[in-house]
Amino acid sequence: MAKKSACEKYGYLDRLSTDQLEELLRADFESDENSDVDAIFHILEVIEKREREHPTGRLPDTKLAWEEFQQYYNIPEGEGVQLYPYEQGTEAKASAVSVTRQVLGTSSIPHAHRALWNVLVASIAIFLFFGGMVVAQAAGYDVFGAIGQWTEETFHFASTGDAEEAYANRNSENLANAESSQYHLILKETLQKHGIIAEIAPSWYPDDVSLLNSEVFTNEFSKTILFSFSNDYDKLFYVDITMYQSISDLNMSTFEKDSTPVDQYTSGGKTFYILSNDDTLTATWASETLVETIAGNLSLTELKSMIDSIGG
Amino acid sequence: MKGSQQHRYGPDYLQMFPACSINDTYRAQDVVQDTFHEAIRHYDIIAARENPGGWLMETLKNKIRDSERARRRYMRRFLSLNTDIAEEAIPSSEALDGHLEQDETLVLQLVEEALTPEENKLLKRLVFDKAGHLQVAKEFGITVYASEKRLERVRQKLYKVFPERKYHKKK
Repeated sequence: MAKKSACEKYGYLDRLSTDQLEELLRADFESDENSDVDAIFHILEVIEKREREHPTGRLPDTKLAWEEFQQYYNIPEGEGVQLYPYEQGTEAKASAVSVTRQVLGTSSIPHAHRALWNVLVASIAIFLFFGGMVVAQAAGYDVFGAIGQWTEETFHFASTGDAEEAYANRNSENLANAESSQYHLILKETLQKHGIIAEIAPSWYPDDVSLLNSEVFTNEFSKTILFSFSNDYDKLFYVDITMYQSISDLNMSTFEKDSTPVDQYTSGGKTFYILSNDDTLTATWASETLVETIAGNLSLTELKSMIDSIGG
Repeated sequence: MKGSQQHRYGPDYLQMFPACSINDTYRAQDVVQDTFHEAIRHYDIIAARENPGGWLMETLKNKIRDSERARRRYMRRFLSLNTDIAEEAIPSSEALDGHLEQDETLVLQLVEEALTPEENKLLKRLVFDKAGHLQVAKEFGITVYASEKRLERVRQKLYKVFPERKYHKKK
């Protein structure tokens, strides 16, 4: 029924020449908007049918392609590697914009925030909506069972077998320290409410910033609590706490970065990876299924001060 | 993905789409294979989607677009060795090809000094000849992933020689 409906809907395309249909495909390819997939497949069906009736060499050799795929592409060396990496799809970006605007409780963005906004949206899009992202793995260090792996453009955590075993046998800890600031208290209470240890909340924040909003995102893989801060100028950053269902899901935490070498900063027994992406700094730390991230246009000094205040 | 749906989302159509859309057959085939490689890795996620064909199509489109942008960046970088072209003013592929024909000798001479003969050959095949990684892999006796890594190494070398391009900001 569905196919018949599609045929009826796109039947007018059958009257176009093959060259005209290919022109439509090119137009779709050049468009930034999402494709009308049914229309595209209908066009391809029409072209395929015509080719089978009157071959002109347009049909691919599927058997050869499959053999080449198995021989050259689907090989161990290709594990975790994309030959042609691509940016986030518009679907993910649109969702991220929508969600992040909800987080910030606003539908319009101050002009001064625009540049950073774009960076944050991209980061959040990856963080929240693109768990299946494939990244090449270049190097890494073991921190509390999590390995940070990065390329020139992305960074993520990966689980280790030892860490998974340790996690399975672990005893949970709940600590609640006295707060030293209003935001510290808010973060602690929010984390506690969601069953996350409160001591990972920073107690120091840059002068004149205010908490814009806090929001919770839950999906089948994780729960994310996102606190967004800003001042009256162009400072904008967030504290992101994500608790994954399984330690094997840690590699969903993928961050965009530029080619600046990844730095490490240890404070209070926690080693943060510090990544740079244009004018944004990201500090991220993972323990078992927990990933804590502080990111925004903070100075390195501010970032480290926030890290130092964790557990304080 | 069952029955006719499986056929609709199958390799036939995905191979036809880029072949119809871009005039770069080998790279189109390369990108399709890369899309399938990624789809297999994330089969569970994709199969659970309401519209897996849409994911495949959009992924394919994004990869094609980004690969074309990357190719133009390489070509623009060669031009920028002698001229200051605004980052956002990316000329069309045809314009670049025409410009390169005029200045090709000088441009390639500069690049050749920065790269090994093997790297020059790889760069020429992938960027100027529009060969795919599969073709290069077969010609060089390496894997497609080694081809990609070598291209990345070429990029890094060019950045070292012309560091001002690496940190060039959009205006």
